Amino acid sequence: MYLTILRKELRQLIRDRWLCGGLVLFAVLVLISLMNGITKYQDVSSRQKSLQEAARQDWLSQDSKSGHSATHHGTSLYKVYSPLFAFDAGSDPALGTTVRVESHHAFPMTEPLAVGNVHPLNFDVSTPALLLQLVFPLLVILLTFSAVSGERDQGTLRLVLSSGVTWRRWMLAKMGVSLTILLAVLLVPLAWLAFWGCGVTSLSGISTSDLMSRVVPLALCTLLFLGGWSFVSLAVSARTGSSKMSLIILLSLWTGWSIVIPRIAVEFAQQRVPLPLADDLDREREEMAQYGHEGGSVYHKLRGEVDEKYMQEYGVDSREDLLIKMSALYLTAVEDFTDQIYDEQIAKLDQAFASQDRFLDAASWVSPYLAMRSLSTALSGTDRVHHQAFYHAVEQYRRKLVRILNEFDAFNVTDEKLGPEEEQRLRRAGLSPPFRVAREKPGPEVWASVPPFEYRFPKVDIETQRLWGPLAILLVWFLGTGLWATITPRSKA
Amino acid sequence: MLPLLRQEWRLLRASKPYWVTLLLLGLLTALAFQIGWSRAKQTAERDQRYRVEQAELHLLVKEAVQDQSTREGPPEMRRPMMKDPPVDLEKLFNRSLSDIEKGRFRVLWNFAKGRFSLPHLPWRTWKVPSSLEALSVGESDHWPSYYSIDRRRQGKTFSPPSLFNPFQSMIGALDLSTLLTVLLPLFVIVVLHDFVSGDREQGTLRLILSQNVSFRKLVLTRLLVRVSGIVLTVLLVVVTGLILTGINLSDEHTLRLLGMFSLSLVAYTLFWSAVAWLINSLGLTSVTNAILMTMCWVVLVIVLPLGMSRVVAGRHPVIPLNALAAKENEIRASVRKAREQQRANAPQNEERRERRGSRQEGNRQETAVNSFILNELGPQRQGIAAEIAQVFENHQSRSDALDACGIWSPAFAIKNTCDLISGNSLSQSIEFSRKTGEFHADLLAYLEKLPHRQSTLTVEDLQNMPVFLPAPAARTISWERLRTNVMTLAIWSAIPFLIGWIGFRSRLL
Repeated sequence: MYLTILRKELRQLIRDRWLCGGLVLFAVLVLISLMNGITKYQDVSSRQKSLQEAARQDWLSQDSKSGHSATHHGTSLYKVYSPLFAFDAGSDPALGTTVRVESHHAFPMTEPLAVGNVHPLNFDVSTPALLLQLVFPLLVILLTFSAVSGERDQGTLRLVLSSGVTWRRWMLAKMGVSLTILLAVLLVPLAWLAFWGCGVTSLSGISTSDLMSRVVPLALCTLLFLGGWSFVSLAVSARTGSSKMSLIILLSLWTGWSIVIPRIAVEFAQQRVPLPLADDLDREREEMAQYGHEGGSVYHKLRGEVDEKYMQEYGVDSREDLLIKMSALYLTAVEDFTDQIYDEQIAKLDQAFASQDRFLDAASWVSPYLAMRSLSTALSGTDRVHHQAFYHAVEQYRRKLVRILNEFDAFNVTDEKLGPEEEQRLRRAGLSPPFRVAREKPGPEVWASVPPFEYRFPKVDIETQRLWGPLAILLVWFLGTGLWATITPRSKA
Repeated sequence: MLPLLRQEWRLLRASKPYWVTLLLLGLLTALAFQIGWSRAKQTAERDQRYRVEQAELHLLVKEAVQDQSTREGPPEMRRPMMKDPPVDLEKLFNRSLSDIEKGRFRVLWNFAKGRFSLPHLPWRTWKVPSSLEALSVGESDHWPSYYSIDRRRQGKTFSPPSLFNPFQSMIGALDLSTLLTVLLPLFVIVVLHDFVSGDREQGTLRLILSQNVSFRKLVLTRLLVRVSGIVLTVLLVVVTGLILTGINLSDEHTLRLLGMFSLSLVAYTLFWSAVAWLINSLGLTSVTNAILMTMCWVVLVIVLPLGMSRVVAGRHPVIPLNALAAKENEIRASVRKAREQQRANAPQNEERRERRGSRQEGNRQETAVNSFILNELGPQRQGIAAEIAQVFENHQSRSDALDACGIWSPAFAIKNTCDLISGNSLSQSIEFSRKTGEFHADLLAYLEKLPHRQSTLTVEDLQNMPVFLPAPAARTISWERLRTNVMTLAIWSAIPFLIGWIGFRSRLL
């Protein structure tokens, strides 16, 4: 019986050539968009990779005279993108693609991809994810807004109900038809994405299993989201007096949930927890680096501490007796201090972002689109958290690079200063890191002692805790709307 | 015509969905206006703050330069040696100052005297907000409306001064222009998708036409009555909002802008009504009409603008402004090398010169530095300025191409109109950034031209120093572009209307 109704509903739908044409047109649009995303990902990733190789070559072939001047020569690191960037670019286009790595200062990421784009209408649906999550619900509405109310308008609802089919079974058949169509539209692009993604894992350092652990939940979440939309549409259609009223309500819901609430939520989050200005942060960092928390010259204080530490360690009474290049150790101490300031600032900034995210997560309860976007960008690896993970790795690398080279300078005692006795004494002192004797200016072997930057794309569980909320919202959305649609309305006909 | 109008009005009064739609539209318009207004308010406050801040800074510099008391002091002023200004700053600025402000002004006072330290002062440039800024956020999320002039680096000035939540840039802002461009057509679809087919499906169309009335006249009246409700709702909310927020509507410039906005709104709504007219002329069912109109919306509001912007971006590639900082770094690195070379070749340094007190040696040193500025720094700065100018030219040509796209897309035309009126269009943002770049280059060039020996400034130097004067919003608006947009929208409306006029036949019954 159920299959008979399902077949009848499907046949009825297929006979609407305009609707079928619309669905085919949309499916083609999604495929074109995915193809475009894939091309863009390949272009960006290969460009980033070649730039990274060129930066490494530049680093190895530099002619700096000392370790510290090499830290000023610096290098550039280029962001590694997830293959799912092709499906959902998320926040990545607005964030930087490259970052300078030098001593004394943690540079922000620059040259975002979006700068090359134009957004004349402030309404971006350029990715397959946005087409499916923002525009497709509109098509789902058109598909179903008159599913029941149309029968009511034409007077055929009584006929259907008099044929012995129960309301619940009839609605379940309609829901089944909707889900079949959704699957048909989703299957090809997502299967293509998974298949293609497995072939380009080397570009982003993501494993195939990790990629699949992202694609499968992504597909399921999209199905839950769109399924919820079709169920809402059916439920509204069953409860309104006319197709026109049904269309008005559904379009209002789409406008509210997909456009108005997300934008208002973002606006209020920004007003509620305003972010500091980049200029102010820079100035604060500069002042702190000069005067510290307690005022006074930080440099002189740190210098005294370093002197005392090393004089004690090597058992000498005067700084001049140390055969270590103390200026390099002072610089290391200053670096440690500025890193600490930077960490404090980043912690504050992260807290502000987290507060904004919490506000947006709360708003997801009144807009399933927000929940879907959070899940989609997180699973695609294109949200702020993934970007932050990359930037954190960059910062760790920067600190490592600066430390290696400053310590190289410190413990590379030049031959003019070092006699055999002093050399023996330093060896006996057991310097850490290992004591070296350099008789020439540093060359490629020293620059090569700084390992190349290697970034492993984080696993999907990087933000599992945060995603339980949006996932729960989508489940409630799917099951709740499904239940609502199957409940018999007070007045059927 | 009048009886027809009365009849349509009576029918409309009884239509509950129509009033629900208008109510929703009114609420959304009010919400979008409120968001735009709160942003505009922040901009206006910032504009006022920066005006006061820069005026005080100029006053401070003027006083510091006129002050002779510290001229005998050491030429290089370190912070611990900074002296308190001999003037009462509270009296000078005519307001009370906090301890932090006093400390800040003390530092600035000591900085203000030197030729080399003058660029270190917090100079700013900012865009004057338009009186109708609440209408559109425009490009203000992507292009800064103020810049902090970097001490030395022209490129670094263009690094974005504010941080943002990336989720925000992904979602976008809800402003009136987005509402009108993207959502208004959906309201027209809801109201007009069945304005003929609905009567036909209910069987009332034959009844109406059995009276002595022209079919086309009837349909036209119905369309105009329904559309006027939409237009009036939006205009009413906007004008009420402007009045409530204290905008001076008697100002001629504001009134002209509001007039252009109203004309564009009418023309854009008429365009979508004409689409409804055309689709209804095909004689399809109401559901099919709704589907077709939504398809038109997808194509005209999503696909076409997206495709066109892609084409424009492809044909007019640009360098992002914050990449200028990296470019400048490369140039600076070469300057640094040249400077090192210069130092290595210079026979004596400044310290030794002072110690020896040899005037001849000092002159040689000064000649060397001046020659270095002339031969190395000057050309490098000019190179950077040329690079920046080229980048702005590329951005401008892209902006012109986008403006031209308005001819091919009504959505582009209305959005461009709103952005222009609000002072946040791409072309206005580029122009402001370009002016900032020019001001920075002029300031550095001016300081460079001062004789090297002159480490402190004179009053004459200060009078000749370039000053950034923000252009009034009225001067940045291109009226020609606005007129073209309105004309484009009118032509776009006429085309589907004429086709529909021919298409409406009695067989539709």
